Amino acid sequence: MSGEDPGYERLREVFAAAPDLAATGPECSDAARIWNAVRGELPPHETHALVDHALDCPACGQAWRLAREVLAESGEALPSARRGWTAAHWAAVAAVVIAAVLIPVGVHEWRAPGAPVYRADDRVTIHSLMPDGAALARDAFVLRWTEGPPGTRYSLRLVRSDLSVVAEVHALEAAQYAVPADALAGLSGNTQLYWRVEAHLPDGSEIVSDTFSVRLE
Amino acid sequence: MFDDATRLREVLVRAVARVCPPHLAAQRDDIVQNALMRVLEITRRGEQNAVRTSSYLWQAAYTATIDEIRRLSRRKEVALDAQPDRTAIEAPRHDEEQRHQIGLEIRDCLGRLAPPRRRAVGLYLLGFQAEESARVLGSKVKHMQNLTYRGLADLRRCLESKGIRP
Repeated sequence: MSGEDPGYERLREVFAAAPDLAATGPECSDAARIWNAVRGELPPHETHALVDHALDCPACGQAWRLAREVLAESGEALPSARRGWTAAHWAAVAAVVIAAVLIPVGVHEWRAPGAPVYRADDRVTIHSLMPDGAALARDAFVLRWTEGPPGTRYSLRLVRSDLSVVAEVHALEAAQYAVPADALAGLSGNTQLYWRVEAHLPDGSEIVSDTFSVRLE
Repeated sequence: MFDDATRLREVLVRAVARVCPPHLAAQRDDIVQNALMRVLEITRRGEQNAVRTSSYLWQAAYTATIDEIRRLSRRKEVALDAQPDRTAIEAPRHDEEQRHQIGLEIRDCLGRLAPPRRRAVGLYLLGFQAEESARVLGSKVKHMQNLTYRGLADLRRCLESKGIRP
């Protein structure tokens, strides 16, 4: 039925058009729950609550749309649509409940200590002091960024487009890092690289920069 | 080191291009790249705990992308809040205003539908096919098609009563 009536297609477009600022609220679900719901892995009452909220919340509606897009493109095997509540189905639900108890430990572990923490107002931000995509020579491959408050320490990671790590350093005191030539030795000229900085502020908070690109001459 | 990165990037680029709100259109590449960097961090921790699987990676990529979109949206909000004179912000164009108003009317009409029809139509409006909605809501495909068909008819009637012809 989808796509048969252009009027309904227009409704879809208008409905999908998020307002300029798709703000999330405290009642918004975390993305992992939406992902599980779209995979059909949550009990019906939980899914219903999430859908009901998403239909009133453009930001969560957007999260549902993205989950659908990513899942559809991923080629992941998904449970097919239900054909009724069988004993096997209840067993599957029980497994999901057990997993829901166990998995969050693993899923959220990366959010625990050391994971990026963004301040609500982002008063301190880290910016590159070089033009994005700048070309740097092997023997003068120095990355520079804006400083945090005195006492800030920085971690930096430089990766290739396949995310293999070229250089990774921690506890830098200066807001710059000269990448050793030997770290760049295996890279051909004109290689595109990406880098990002984590600033560890004296108050214990962490600020993560955007990802910047740079090119090896 | 990370064989799936190219495929993850391709999928995220396409998905973000379709879903990313207009006010973040210029930052789509940043969103994808930031998300991939976070996936790298996630998988590194995951490898330590031997939990790296394909579905884990896709979930990680998805959640990282959503986090990036939300973070950038919050940053935009703060930037607007910091402006001393809100009246200086350019007013939205008339057609955008109209679309926004229609969007509100759609939500109002959705809220008047019976819950099963509302969810079926809502997922349809979010881009879900009947098979996908059936999986999400734990229903039969045929039942979902019926709910969507009848719910869309209800929605059309409600909108027409407000002077909006879909």
